[in-house]
Amino acid sequence: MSTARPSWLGHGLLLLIALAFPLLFSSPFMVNFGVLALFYAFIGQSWNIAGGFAGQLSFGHVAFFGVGAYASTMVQMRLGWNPWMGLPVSALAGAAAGWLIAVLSFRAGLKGSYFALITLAFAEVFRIVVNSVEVTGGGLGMLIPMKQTAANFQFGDRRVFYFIILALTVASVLLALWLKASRFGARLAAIRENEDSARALGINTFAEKTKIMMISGAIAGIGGCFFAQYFLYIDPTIAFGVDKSVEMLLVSMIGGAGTVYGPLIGAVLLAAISEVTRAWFTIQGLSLVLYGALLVVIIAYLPNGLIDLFKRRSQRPGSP
Amino acid sequence: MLKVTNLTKIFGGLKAVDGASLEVGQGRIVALIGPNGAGKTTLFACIAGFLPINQGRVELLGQDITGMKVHDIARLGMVRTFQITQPFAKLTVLENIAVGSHQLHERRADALSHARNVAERVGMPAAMLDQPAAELTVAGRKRLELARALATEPKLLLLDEVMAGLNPQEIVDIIGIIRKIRDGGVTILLIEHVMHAVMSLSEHIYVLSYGKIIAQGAPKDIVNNRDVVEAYLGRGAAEQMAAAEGQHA
Repeated sequence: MSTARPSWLGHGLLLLIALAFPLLFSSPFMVNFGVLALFYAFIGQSWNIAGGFAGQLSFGHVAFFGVGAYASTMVQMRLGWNPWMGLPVSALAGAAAGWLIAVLSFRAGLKGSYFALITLAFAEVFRIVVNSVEVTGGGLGMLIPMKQTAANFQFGDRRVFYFIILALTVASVLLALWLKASRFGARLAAIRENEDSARALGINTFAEKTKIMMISGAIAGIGGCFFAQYFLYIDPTIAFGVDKSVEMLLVSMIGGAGTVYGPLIGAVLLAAISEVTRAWFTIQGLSLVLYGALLVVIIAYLPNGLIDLFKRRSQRPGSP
Repeated sequence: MLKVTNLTKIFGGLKAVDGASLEVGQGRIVALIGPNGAGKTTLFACIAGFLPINQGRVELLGQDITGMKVHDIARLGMVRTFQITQPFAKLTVLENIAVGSHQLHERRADALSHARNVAERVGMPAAMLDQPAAELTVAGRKRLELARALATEPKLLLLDEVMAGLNPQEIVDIIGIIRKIRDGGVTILLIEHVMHAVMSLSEHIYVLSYGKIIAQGAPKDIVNNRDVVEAYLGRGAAEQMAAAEGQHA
């Protein structure tokens, strides 16, 4: 493209900082902060490739996250599989949930806010289902027994989690970079901008949208597996709560939806606000209040997200 | 190339298209004209698969495409443009065209260079290519519609009023471009209100009025067709004109 991208030097430097971070700041607080920031970046990227790149705005992305968290935890707790198997299982489960929601809502021709509402409804349905059946542990959720060995996907040194989520986030960024430079990505951008035109030019919009929802679902599903292994506990509210959907969406929108690095910027900010408010104030949910206020300011002054501050004016996040 | 037989489209109680039949031969420029509200754009939408039809049959290159999906029809080589331009607003002009180019070119770099090539074919200045499509003038948008469709390398182009809103010079330019596209081997069916363009471009004209094809023929026959004059000017207009001419003579 004609517009300049962060160079290989920029990428290398960013990665170096990310790698050095837990070595320089090894306190549990800072490592936890790093893990959270990368975790938000990862699930934010999941929302971003569907919502930002393909324009399929979902308000219920937590559905994929929760399905991944439950699928990986259940094969471990109920079937006795190795926890590491949870990663591919959660990816498959997330993709399957993405396929289901995509096929049902795109077949019905749902777009824009209707699609957003139906995803929200699906997340709620999933929450209610896992809340009411026995096999998921119902409202009590599932507690994964503590057994800190690498073979068990549990680590005494929390920094290992940091490096795992860093690897996952790097992979998600590489995926986003590939999307920007591929035919698939160009088609998604076309669908986002004008679906009728996309069809007229021979794009199978239904198939492309379903594909991206499956990929996005798989990523969020893996995020769910990681979350479960990190906190060793899930329940219906944690796994399918609306707040996580909002966080995924905000991370992406505040940083810059439809850009590769937007979710990273938004995630660092969200993690910082959330940790700082938790450490300094005792008011529950204050971080979300601050985050909402920030969103208002950003929509008013930087409609393309914070990433605009890092870019030259000529660059537009809308381009594939 | 294209054969439409007895196509009928009903919206509620309104027969928007009523048993229309038309045929477009390979390598020709054929025009579809008619007063406002005659159902031209509806007929286009039905042919291209955007609207389901109530009756009739559409054949492309001998293949029955009735009821096929829009994107499948486009891949078979029939691509439409929109009367109300529908650009990918946030993408640049080049990226817009490249979406079409990607149909045949898998790699991004190939698609972009093909798109550059197409832009040149429709006479877009290179400076325009990096502009966001949203910033284009009417003439620019019309040309982008054309370029994007052309970038899919279609066999048949359906052009819906690509000249509406253009100034006389721009119309002259686009007539030349359309002729060049045809000479490059693309068959063209166009809806147009700019009569002198229709007359100079097309080899065959179909006239649609109240959803029915009321006349067809070579341009010179159409201008003298009594039904066509009345469709445009009202009942009795042809006789009044003939009478007026008689008095002058």
